[in-house]
Amino acid sequence: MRFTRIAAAAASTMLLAACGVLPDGPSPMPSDWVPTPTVSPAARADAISPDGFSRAQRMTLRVRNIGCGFIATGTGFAYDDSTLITNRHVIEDSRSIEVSTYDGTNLTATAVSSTTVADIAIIRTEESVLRSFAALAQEDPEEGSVITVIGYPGGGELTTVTGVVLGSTADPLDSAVGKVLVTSAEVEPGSSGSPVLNESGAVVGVVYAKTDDGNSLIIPVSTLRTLLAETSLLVPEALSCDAPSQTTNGTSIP
Amino acid sequence: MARKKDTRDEPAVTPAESLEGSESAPRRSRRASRGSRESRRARIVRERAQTQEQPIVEEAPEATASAASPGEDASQTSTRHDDAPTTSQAGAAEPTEAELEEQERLDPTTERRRWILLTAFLGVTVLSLIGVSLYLSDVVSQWELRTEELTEVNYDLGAQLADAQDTIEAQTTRIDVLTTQLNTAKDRITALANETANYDDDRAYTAQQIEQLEGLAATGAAVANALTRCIDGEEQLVTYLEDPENYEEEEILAFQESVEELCTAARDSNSEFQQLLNG
Repeated sequence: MRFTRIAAAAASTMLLAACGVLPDGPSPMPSDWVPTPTVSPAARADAISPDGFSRAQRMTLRVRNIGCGFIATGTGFAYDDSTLITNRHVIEDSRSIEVSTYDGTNLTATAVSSTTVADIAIIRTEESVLRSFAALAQEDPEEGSVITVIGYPGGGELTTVTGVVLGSTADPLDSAVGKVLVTSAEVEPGSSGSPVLNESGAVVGVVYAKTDDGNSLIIPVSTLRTLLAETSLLVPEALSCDAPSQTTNGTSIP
Repeated sequence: MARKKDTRDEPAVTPAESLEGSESAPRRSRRASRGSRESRRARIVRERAQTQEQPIVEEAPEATASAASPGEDASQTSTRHDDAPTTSQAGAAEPTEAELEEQERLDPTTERRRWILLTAFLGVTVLSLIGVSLYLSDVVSQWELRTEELTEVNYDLGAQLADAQDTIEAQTTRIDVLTTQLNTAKDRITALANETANYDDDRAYTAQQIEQLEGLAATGAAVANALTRCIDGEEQLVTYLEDPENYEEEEILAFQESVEELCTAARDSNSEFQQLLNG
């Protein structure tokens, strides 16, 4: 009898336990089997170029210095919708400054200012037509960093070259206070004022000269930031052949 | 003594109770049935225990009685002698534990109850299995239906996937073509921008040249004018010299000097202009 009771209790327990492990029926059928996309094209609209040119290409400008009896070209880049940054020696002895974009649009400069602290000049344009601007890096590039230079070497087509930062040195042209950086990027006359970009696309310097061994010299972004913060260091330039002009030493590359 | 009598009477009652219990077992609760079965064995065990304990329990009064009244000893002893055989006969008739179990096992009432329980258990089990089978059958039906639906959805999604793959392939080809066209357009834009910039350079240079040439032309015109005036002065001087009686000699000399100065200046200007033209 005892065995029967135990068996009955065990069977009842097993039966109840079995009820717990019985399979359920299917849950309701999903109406949509396609997952929702996590990234939509609209969210990345600002990252898409309107014409196939990169932001760096669109912000880089060709500077034409119509001087007193000469024509010189250089490079600059947009800092905001009406402000350009280039080299001081690019706009020297100028009677008129003209700027053209990557697609051939011409802009006329209304004011030019430069500084003796570094080979840097600021150009203001008449119209606020610039749409792509430079983002300045927070820190100077370290030795060995990969950099990209976009400019108009020889006054020719928009060209992109790459190199690495080789180190820092005192300015051999004495046109800048403090250290400048040496890079392996190849530049030519006409590349002066070209933006130097890091791998994130931020501006880390401005090309202003080349050395005899084919390297390029750049003004670091820390100096550029200092100049932009201290506007009193920038002196307006008179666009006239009669006005005395600042000069720089020989090997800079207009 | 009363307890012993009760003990003796109980077996006479027990079969009736058992029979009654067995007959009414299906109607009685399980607890009541269990109580009946337990009390049966318990009664037998209790009975045996009471039988063994009885002499010990009754010795003390006997000792007390013999000490108190020796005269009554014979009658009490005889009473004890009457009881003693009764007690020993009951102990000899009592079954052992194994015998009890054997009795219980062979008891038809117990056997019937066991079959009833077994049948009830099997009935419940069968009913449970039927319920589980019906439930599982329903679940299987639902899953079969779901399988058909999923198969249909699978084919639908497969068709959509195939369409999407075709679209992707076509769009990829189109993107490749458009990328090539875009690169060509970019190259062309860059080239045109360069041509425009060079043209503007040339235009600015030409404007400077024109401006310079305009300056040269003005200078040339001024030099030519000076030379013309020189020639005119010299011609006038020749006229004066052809008829000197009509003019004062001093005036002719003064005029000659001024013409020479004019011509000298004109020639100097011409020389400078020529040098300017030559570079």
